[in-house]
This record gives sequence, structure tokens and C-alpha cells, in this order.
Amino acid sequence: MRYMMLVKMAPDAGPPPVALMEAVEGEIRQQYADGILLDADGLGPGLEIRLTAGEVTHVDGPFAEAKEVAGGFSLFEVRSHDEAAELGRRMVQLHEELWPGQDVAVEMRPLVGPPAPAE
Amino acid sequence: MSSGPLRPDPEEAIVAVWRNESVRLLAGLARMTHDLDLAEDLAQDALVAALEQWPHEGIPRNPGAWLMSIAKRRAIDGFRRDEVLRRKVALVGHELEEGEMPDLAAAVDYIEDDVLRLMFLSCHPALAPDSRTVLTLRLVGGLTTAEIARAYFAKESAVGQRISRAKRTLAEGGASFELPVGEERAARLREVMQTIYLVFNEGYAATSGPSWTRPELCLEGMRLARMLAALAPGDPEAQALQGLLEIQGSRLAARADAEGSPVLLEDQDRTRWDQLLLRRGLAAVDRAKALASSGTPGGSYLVQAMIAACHGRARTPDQTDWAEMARLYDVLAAAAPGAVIEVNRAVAHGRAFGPDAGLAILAAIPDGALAGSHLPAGVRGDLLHRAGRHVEAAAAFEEAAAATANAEEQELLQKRAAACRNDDSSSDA
Repeated sequence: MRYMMLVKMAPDAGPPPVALMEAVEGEIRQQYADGILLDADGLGPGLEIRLTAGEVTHVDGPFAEAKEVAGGFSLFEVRSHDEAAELGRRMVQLHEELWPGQDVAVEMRPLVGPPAPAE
Repeated sequence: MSSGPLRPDPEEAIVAVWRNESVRLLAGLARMTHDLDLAEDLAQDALVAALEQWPHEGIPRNPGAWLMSIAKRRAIDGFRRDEVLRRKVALVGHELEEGEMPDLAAAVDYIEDDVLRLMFLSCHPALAPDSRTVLTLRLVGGLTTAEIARAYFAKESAVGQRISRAKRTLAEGGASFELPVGEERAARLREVMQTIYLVFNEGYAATSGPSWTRPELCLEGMRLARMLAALAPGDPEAQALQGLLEIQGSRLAARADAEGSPVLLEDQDRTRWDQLLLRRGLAAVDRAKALASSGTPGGSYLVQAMIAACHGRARTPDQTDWAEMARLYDVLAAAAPGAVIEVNRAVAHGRAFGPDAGLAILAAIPDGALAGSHLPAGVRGDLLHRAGRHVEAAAAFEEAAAATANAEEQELLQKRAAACRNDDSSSDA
């Protein structure tokens, strides 16, 4: 089963410490060597187009008012929900250890996949 | 929505951690002890310790290092108690006493060597292919005996016996725990690739059980192929195998209809192909081609992967580059001659250069080379039909129908025979 990991934090968090970036790179190398990482990339500020009560608005990033934004994603092929949870736990742990004081939210979202063949 | 502890059941959490760590743990222990059974025992000891301690103390920051230090401590205790064991593997004591556990994150290369060593062992030429697949799934894939048995529709006890027999064979034959070099390394890599291919293929076209495909074996095969490709980044065949399996794997969802019956490549709904796997597979094939053109020659996996890529790039069957396909099958037939490849070569040449070109290749296959297979007669029927020789085509399809035991295939071939007879009478009119 496939899981997308989104690492989210405050939009004004600034660049992560070098030690954290190196640790995350090591983690990515390991996931790649384990054959479970299918895709990964960072996400830029971009723009948001929102429909609220019938009104369309555009917001160009960075999204200063947002509570948290995703800075990147990884796509995994794992064998269970628990394996996905473990990957997420490790990512949070690296932040706790190497970026003290910074809040972070790691989302692990299962990909639903295409529908079954038409009956 | 709920909040609270990450995982309410600590045992499930530990099993998940174990999944992530067991291969590297086992691979490291195997290198240190030169004894697969002992390595597995030590790894199990570490797992038991985790099950005892983690529910109270939480999962440690670096679970891999924690498990390894427990296993090493147990090993040292064992060696101190057991003089015989100690003498038997004298060098091991030295390595174990060496002191500090290396930082797992900092020692990826070292660990990768360990994992490759474990792959070479579990795909050892002294083992039968069936034993290699189950041992690889167990040791490198980290699957339990029960999971392997389920995947192969086999009895758990039978799989268990096969695994212990395989380990005994390796121990008694004195299988080396060293990494082979030079020509031997290349030969052993081919054994590993063949084993991974077998795992995938059993999932792609199951030889037993109720369903035509077993996606879980395909997933394991793809994962193992990715591991190998990462371990042997300079080897075009390892990259090609990953590409081949990912491109074929991308078609899994399109490969069976709602009833679970096979859907052949040309009839598949290509919008159901998994674009991510296809893209990854095509990229792996490009890597393999680049490596092959800059020195290390590619082999049959590269040609097969290029054939798969040729299908993968065609948005519709009509867009297939059949001339390229015919060329690739010529290369494959020269490298790995065989009747099945000749039949496929006949299809490609028939599409690229007209039915007669294909029929000529079919005619050259020795009688009886594919005895009992409906494949040559079915392809002959298709080529004759395309050539407008409807009566002969109908006879070929009937011959093919008689040769298959699969009821659905039989029905399909009979239908094609009837359609040919119909075409014949309408062309007479």
C-alpha cells in the first residue's frame, strides 16, 4: 500500500538546521536502499486558489496566514499502516532531536488507488 | 478523529520497527557470526527483548542500533559460555568485542555490503530455485514463514522445512560469507536477479491458487529489485531488472478483468496502467542503457526491459513501434535462444513486416519444441487471419483450442476460429 508523507510546519519556520537536513538525507538514502521510497520532493510556496461562499480568491505564497504548510512530500510503498506510522514517527523524532523548539506535523496519508475494474 | 499515543498496541508498533530493521540487523549479524542460524537466533533474542522493554520504555531513538547492541551482547555472552562455539568461529569473537556499535546512519555503505552478502547467500547456487525464493523472502524480504506460505498457497510447515533445509545446505556446504569479486560476483548477481524475477513472476502469473495474479508477490519482487539496483548502481542488468519489473508491475491492475480472468496486453485499458511505476520503470531502463553504452554490457534483462518499455511508451496498441520490437526480439533470440522467444519474435515480425515474415519464423520452430502449448498455433492463427487465409486460420485456432486446458482460453480461441470461418464465407459471397 502506498502512503504519502507530508511534513508540515509554520510558514515562517525558516530553513532547517544543516544537521537536520543531513539526517533527513540519510533517512531518504536508507528508504531508497530499502526499496520503499517511490518518490520525494520539496514543495515551493506556489499559490492557492480558494472558493469560499461562492467567491474565488487567489493567494500567492508564501502563505503567511496559514497555520502550517507542507514543505515536501515522500511517497512510500509499505506493507502495513504500522510501517507507515513508523516512518512518520522517525521523521518527527529527527525534528525533535535536531531542530529543538520547532513544532512539526507529519501526515501519513494512504493513497486510495484507482477503482476496481467496472463490474 | 482521535488523539493519544501513536499506536495503542505496542506489539504492532514493534513488529513495524522490526520490519524496517530486521534485514540490516540480520545481515550484520550474519557477517559477524558467519552462521545464519545463530544470526537469526540472536536477531530473535533482540526482538524478544524489544517486546519486553519497549512497551514500558518506549521505542528507542535509534531502534536499529538498540536491537544490534542487544544482539551483540547476547552473542558475546553466548561465546563466553560456549568454548566450542567460540573456537569454531574464533574471528567472530574478535569482531564482536571490537567495541562500539557503528552508527547505523553513518555506516550505510557498510550495511549495504552486509545486505548484498545476505542476498548472495540466500540465492546461493547450491540451493534449488524454489529454496532460493523462500529463503530470500524470509531473510532479505523479512517475511514470516506464515506470510510466505500464504503467498505461495503452501503449507506453513512445508515452507518452514524448506527454509531450514536450505540453511542446512548452506552450512554443510561451507557457503562463503565473503563478498565474491570479479567474474564470480557477476555470476552470483545473475543468480540473485533470477531469484527476484521468479518471485515477481509467480505473482504476475500464478502457477497455483485461485487467482491469476498475486500482487503481493509482485510488490515483494519489485521491492527486492529496487534494493538490488541500489546495491549495484553500476550494473546495467540490475537497473534493467528493476525497470522490467516496474513496467510489468504497472500493468497489474489492467491485467485481470472484474471476474479475475486474464486480459492480454493488446486488450488492456492502458489508462489503468500505473503511471508512477511506468515512469520509474522507464527511468530505470534509461539508466541501464546509459550504463550499457558506457562500458559494462547489458544482457537479457536489458533487452526484455527495452521490450517492456516499447510497449509501455505506446499509448495505444497501434502506436507500438513494431520494427523496434522486432529488432529487440532478434537480439534476445540471439542471446537466449528458445522456442517461446521465437513465437514472440514471430508476432513482432508479423506486425512489423507483414504476416508472412511472422509465419516464416513460426515455420522454423522445430516440431515438438513447444509440445502441449497452444501458443504457436494461436499465433499462427492470428498471422494467417491477418494474411486473409481464413480457412487455415480457423484450423490453427481450433488446434490451439484443443491444446489448452484453460476453459476461458478455449472459449476465446473457439470464438476466433468461428469468426475466421465467418470471414471466409462472407469473402466467398
